[in-house]
Amino acid sequence: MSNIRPNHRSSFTTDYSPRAIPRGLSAVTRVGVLSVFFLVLAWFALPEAGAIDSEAMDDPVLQTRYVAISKELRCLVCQNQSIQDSNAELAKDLRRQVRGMLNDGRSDDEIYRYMTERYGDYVRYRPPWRLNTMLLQLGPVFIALLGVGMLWATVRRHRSQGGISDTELTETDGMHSDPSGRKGEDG
Amino acid sequence: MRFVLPLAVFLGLCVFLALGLGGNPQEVPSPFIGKPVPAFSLEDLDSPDNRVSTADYAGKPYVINVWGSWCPACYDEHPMLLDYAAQGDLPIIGLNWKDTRPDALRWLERLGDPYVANAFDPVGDAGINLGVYGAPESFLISADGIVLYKHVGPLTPDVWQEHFLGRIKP
Repeated sequence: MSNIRPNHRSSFTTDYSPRAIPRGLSAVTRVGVLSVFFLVLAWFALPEAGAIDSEAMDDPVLQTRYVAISKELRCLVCQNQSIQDSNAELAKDLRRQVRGMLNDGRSDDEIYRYMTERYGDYVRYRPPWRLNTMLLQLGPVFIALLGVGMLWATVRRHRSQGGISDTELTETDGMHSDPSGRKGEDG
Repeated sequence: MRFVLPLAVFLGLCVFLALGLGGNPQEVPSPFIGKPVPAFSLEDLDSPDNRVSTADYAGKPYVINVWGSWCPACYDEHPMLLDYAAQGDLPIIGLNWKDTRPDALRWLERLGDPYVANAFDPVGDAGINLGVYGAPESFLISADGIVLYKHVGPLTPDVWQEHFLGRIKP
């Protein structure tokens, strides 16, 4: 009990006062320290960039198509990443397949078909229009229409059954604005 | 009456959620079921001069088992493969996927060899051609070369009985 003093400032309290910044560091030095920090961060990102670069295609047109296609294909072992984003072995293999087929002059459709034939519609982030994907494709539209319909029905019901309409609002305003009974004398 | 619509919506949602939660998202159904198996002809793991081809096994039902010495689940599966091979109901062809020859051969030497032959696919293209996305995976191929069933993950006695033997025995 004796070591709890009434005015003791807990040493755990973070000191947010300007004194918390060491006096010896000028603004310029701090910018310098930050720059070095971010440079080090960037250096850690380099191997990643290198991995992707080494897979780049020589032809810029093919490269654009390659990136676009591999963003549309799902990596099947890391299912919320495209094969473009993923570093999984399978994603690398599938990217290699895509590059190979592009080099062979295959069309985008042919590449998507190749992947779908082997891995099913699931491999594509945008599933095609099929009977069994109708719910997926039309569901949101259906739900939105349902919502609009319900809103419309609710508003209509309120209007017709004792709800307060614009005219009613003005009329009641008029009646209550002057309780002394001088209503209508102004008119 | 006013509760009927919300209740119906709620129950409908329950059905979809149950369907969604019940399935295993890691299991991608193979689009090859009921279709001819994509043919391959690859180097034999044991002897690079020989080839292992699907064509050589046509005429009788067989199993293609995708494995690699780098794959822990394949290690778990291996004793069962040895059992099934000893029972002799279905020949098992190995597809040694994304492996190195020395590692794969050492694995077979150490753990036993359940395979009638092993196709060697170090780069992994033949696997991708089969729609493989991991190991182990097992395909049941009918006598006329149709994919009857695909199992993802280690084979279990239940799966083997029901989906492999069950599909080839009348």
